[in-house]
Amino acid sequence: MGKSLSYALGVIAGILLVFLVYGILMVVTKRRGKCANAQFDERQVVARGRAYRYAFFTVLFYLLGWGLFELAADIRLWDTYTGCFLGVFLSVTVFAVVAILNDAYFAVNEKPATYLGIFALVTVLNLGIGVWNLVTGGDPIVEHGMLTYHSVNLLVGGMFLVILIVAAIRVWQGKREDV
Amino acid sequence: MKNLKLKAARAAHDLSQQQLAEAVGVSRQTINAIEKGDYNPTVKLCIAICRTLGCTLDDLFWTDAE
Repeated sequence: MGKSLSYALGVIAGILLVFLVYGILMVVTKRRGKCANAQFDERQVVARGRAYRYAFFTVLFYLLGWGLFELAADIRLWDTYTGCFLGVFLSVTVFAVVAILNDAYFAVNEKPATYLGIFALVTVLNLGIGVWNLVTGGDPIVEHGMLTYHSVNLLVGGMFLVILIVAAIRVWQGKREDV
Repeated sequence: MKNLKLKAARAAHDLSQQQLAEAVGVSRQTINAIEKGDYNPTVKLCIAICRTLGCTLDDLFWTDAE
């Protein structure tokens, strides 16, 4: 119980720190006049709408499938926390991949290279933490036959890896298309 | 249907897709999609492209059949 409380407080502190750093960065860049809202053109807006629809139905069918499977098979593949995050990761991945394939992920005024770098960093960090946890025999990612929340780093890393690969391929294709 | 008129007009002005996109305020991929016939632009975008290339709507976006 004590470990769970301190772990939860640590997670909350980490999330608050992220928001704090993000807020400070936004204030600093805005003061320097470098902050601009993302601008998507008309075709991108339509394509993003389609991507949001696919993501919505992905999480919808995932939740239905998850619930029905546990009800019918009486088997828990993962704990509730992990299950919720899996649904989020799946829908985010679907949105990102569909948007990227339709050239609607990056705004008109954004540089894809910057985001590819960020995706790569997030991938390496999360996969690194996940693998480190496995190698050093830390918190188990599977307990009683269930995937636990200790696997979240690996899941996040996997999600960003997929998005990174798709984005990198699309950016490379885009450079060849320009005439 | 491919928009070869747009492609030809862009080439006549010696503009790349990226340059035309920046002039019009859209992404390069949108210009590419219009030229390939994968996207039908709104009238607003058509007018913006025509103004940039110094052409009329009939010149770039109306087919002979229409």
